[in-house]
Formats: sequence, structure tokens, C-alpha cells
Amino acid sequence: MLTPYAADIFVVAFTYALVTLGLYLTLLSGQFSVAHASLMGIGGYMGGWATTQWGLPFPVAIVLGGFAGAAGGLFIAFTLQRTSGILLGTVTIAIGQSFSLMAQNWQAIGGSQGLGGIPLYSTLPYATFLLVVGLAAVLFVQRTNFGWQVQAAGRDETVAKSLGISIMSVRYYGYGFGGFLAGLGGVLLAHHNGVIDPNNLSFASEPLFFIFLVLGGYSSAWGAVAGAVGVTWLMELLRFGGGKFLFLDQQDRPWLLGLVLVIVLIISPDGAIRRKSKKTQLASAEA
Amino acid sequence: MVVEILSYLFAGLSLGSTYVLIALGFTLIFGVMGIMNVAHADVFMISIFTYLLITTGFDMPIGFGVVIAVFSGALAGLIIYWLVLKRIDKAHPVALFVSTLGVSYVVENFIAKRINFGRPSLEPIFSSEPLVIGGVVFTGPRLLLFAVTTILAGGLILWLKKSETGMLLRAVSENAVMARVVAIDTNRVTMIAIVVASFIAACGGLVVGNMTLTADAFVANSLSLKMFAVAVVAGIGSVGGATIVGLTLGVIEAFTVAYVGSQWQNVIGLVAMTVVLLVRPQGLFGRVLRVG
Repeated sequence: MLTPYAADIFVVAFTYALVTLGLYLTLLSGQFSVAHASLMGIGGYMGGWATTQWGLPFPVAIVLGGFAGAAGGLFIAFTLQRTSGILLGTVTIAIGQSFSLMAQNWQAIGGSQGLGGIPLYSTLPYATFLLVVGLAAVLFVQRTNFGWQVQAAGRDETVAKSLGISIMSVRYYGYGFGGFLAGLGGVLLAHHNGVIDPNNLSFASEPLFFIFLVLGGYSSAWGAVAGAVGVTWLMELLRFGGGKFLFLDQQDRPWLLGLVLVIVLIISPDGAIRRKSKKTQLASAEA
Repeated sequence: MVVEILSYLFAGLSLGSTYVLIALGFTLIFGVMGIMNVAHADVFMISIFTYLLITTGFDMPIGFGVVIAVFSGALAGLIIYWLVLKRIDKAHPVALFVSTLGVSYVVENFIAKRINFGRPSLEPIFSSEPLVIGGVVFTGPRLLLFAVTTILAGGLILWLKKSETGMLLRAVSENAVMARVVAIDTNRVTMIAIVVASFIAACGGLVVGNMTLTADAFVANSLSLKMFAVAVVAGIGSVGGATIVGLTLGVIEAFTVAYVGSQWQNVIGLVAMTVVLLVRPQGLFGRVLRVG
């Protein structure tokens, strides 16, 4: 069986995987979001509040956190309904940051200290269960009629619109469902660290999820999960040997990861692993 | 009362100058390339740290530090363009955007690690006795910041309007496809735009650093928000608009800090941005469409 240490890393990895999956889903629907760390944070605050202040059982807190993340995502989709593309992505940064600022200035939920004293409920079974359910849900929805509409809208909004696909409903789905998954991740994270603070929500923690997603590849839900779990483990393994490697130490990890991200993007803008199903091969051959 | 208001106005204008200096380049780069360069705010930071390295690290004269810092800031912008932005296919806007995000992550964390995540203090470039006119205190660094902003923003607007290169630049930013059709070397124009933008940001870094006297590797995180807010509210690509909106935002923030409470300072820009996007997505001074 797993050692407690390994189980712990897996909980973190699965948490990140859930958030990355949410990000993947939002990007798949053709919407660009740089606010998933904030959506995760919203979920974390909600979940943490539910268990500490309301004394609700953990599963209820998980669901509440997920819905809080979804509400945040829907808010973004609603506010930005008149912008699109890369401008929308940039503005999501600002919205995410304003969530973080709100948490910082809101003394009732701990202000800049964050919400502490959250019981450590996140265990490996919970994390595994949520990830499996989340992944299954994403894979299932992708195979439904609506899922294909979403992917069509993600590829070409104009064409999708002309085929009678409602872009707004795709957007609400992308941000809502994506935000829900991020919120679940947030609840797990809060109940793993015992605290959730505004830094978790901020723009500065955002690139991590893009690193996961790009290294795993944008092209499949499995890639998102593999990227998150793989990179989290890689970062942990770099810790061994006193954390020293040549002249580098642990605190060098962020920029090294960022460098890998940029290099991968230059070599292959679609992400490191490109898995193409028969249908998407056909679709891209026609494009 | 009047004195009070005037001093807040002055404080606001110098705060707004910071936003203008960073937003001008951002909006310029968006104009010619059509990309959101998140890493642009890092040029600002790079110039501060170059100045720190030259003056404190190597103990060289301050004037030399200023020249090298401005030069290296402009060079940094160009290097980012050569190494990253140019090499990613424009057909992948998400990849482009994420790559600028990645560049800023790399640069910030790399520099922060080198100084062990501290906040070293800077040697002042220029300081003078504060000027007092009718009870309003004008401090030297703020006056310098304001003067530099006026010169750079005014110069940029004039340059875009009058000079031949400026006109080429406007042509590319209006319609890049058409500009190529009439044989404008868009690559060259883009490079010029990047150098000009980075130059302005580097100057901004120095004069703001001269005011705060600290070097913070993660300054771009908060600054880029103002950069987006100003550029989006003004209408992305609009240089004159960015100047007006930046200064206005600074003034409003200063009055908010004075009369409402400092925790609301950062909210204003974000709210303004959200409202503008809902009501007038192309921005207050923006054109409707960008081609290419």
C-alpha cells in the first residue's frame, strides 16, 4: 500500500487534476479563462466555511464548494458576455484578481490571513472518488449531442453560431461546469492544507494550471489529469536528495517549470501530448 | 480644503502616470500584434532590477545605471519578442497568451530567487527639496514621474501622428492584412513598436522606482491589473485614450484612498473595466474592429 507521504502527494495531485480538468473544459468550449485559481479559491472558501462555521458534513461541503465555484464561473460568463477571444481571457485575470482582493478585504472570512482551522478531511478515497466522478462526467458529456456542440463552438464560434448552436449556453456550460470542477478542487485543497487564503486565489497561482494543461495536452481530458498528476509528482521527486540539484534548489522550481511551459508552447502550441481521436482527426483534416 | 484637494489631485496624477507609462506600451503592442502581452509589465520590473544591479551590485555611477537600465528594458522586450512571441503561430491565440503568461512567470520567479525573495532598496536617481506652492507639497520624484509621463505620452502621440514610421505603425494596427498588401514590412513595424513600448515601460520602471525606492520582483502582478484596466477601459489599441484613462484612474484612486478607504483602491479599476465591457465592449475611445 501507499505510504502516508505518497497518499498525501496523490491527494494534492488529484486536487490539481480536478482544477486542471475544469480549465480544460472551459478552454474546450472555446472560452479562455485565467481565473480558475480564483474559482478554486471560491470553492475552497465556501467548503471551508461550511465545515467550520456551519458544521456541515464534508460531502455536503464538497457539493456546496462545487456550486460556489460554478456560481463564480457563471458570474464571469455573464459579465463578459459581450467580449470574446483573448480579450475575454485577459479580463478574467482581472475578475479573478478582484475575487482575491475581496477575500483579502473581507475580515469576516479571515482577511489576508485566510480562513484557518479547517479540519483535514481530504483523504485519498475522497480525492480519488471526486476525480473519477469528475473525469467520467466530463467524458460522458463530451459524447452527448450537447458535448459535440460545445466542441464545435470551441473550434469555430462563427460556424457554430450559423449552425444554430447557442454560444451563450456553451459559455455558461464551459464556465459553469469548469468552475464546478475547480470549486471541488478548492474544497479538497482547503481541507488538505487546513487553511485557504487570498494568495490561493490570486493571479500568481494561475500559471501552474496552465503548466499542467500544456504539458498534458489540451486535446483530451485524460491529458489534463495526466499532466496535473505527472507534474505534481515530478516536482515532488525533485525534492529528494536534499532538494539540491547542481546549483538549483527547490525555490528554482517555479521558473524552471515556467521555462518548460514556454519551450513546449514554442515547439508545439497544442500542448506536449496530442492525442487525436478518429473524429477529431477527421475534423482537423477538413479544417 | 482646497490645499487638501490639490495635494490629492497631484498624488493621483503621479499615481496615474505610473499606469499610463505601463499601459501605453501594452496597448501599442496589442495594436500591431493583436496579442495581449502579459509579460509587458515585467519589462518595467527588469529595468528596475538592472538599475539595482548596476548601481548597488557593481557600484557604478547612477547615470550609467539609468542608461543601461533603459537600454536593457528595451532589449528585454525585443528578446521576449524574438525568442517567444515571434515563434508561436498566431493561429493559436491561447498558446500565445499562455506563453506570455509563462514568460512573466519565469522572469519574475527567476529574479525573485536571485535576491532570495527579498525587496532590496534602491539608490535614488533624483531627489530634491520638496517644492511648496501655496501649501501644496510637490515632491521631486513625483514631479519627475509626471514630467517623464507627459514627455513620453505626448511624444508617442505626436510620433504616431506625424512621423512616417508612426503612420506605418498606425496602418498596421488598423488593418494588418491590408498593411501587408500595400507592402508595409509588418515585421519591422512590429519590432519598432515593441522597442518603443518597452522603452516607455523601462523609463516608467526607473521613475517609479525612484519614487518607491524598493525593487519588488512581483510588482507586475498588481501592475498588470491596472495595465489591463486602463487599456480595456480606454479601448484596446487607443494610445491617447490610455493616457486620459490612466491619469483619471490615478486621480480617482487617490481620492478614494483619501475619502473612502484604502481597501477600495484596487477595486475601482476592476469595476470600471467590468462596467465598460458590459456597456461598451470596444472601450471608451476604442475602434470597433481590428483586422488581421
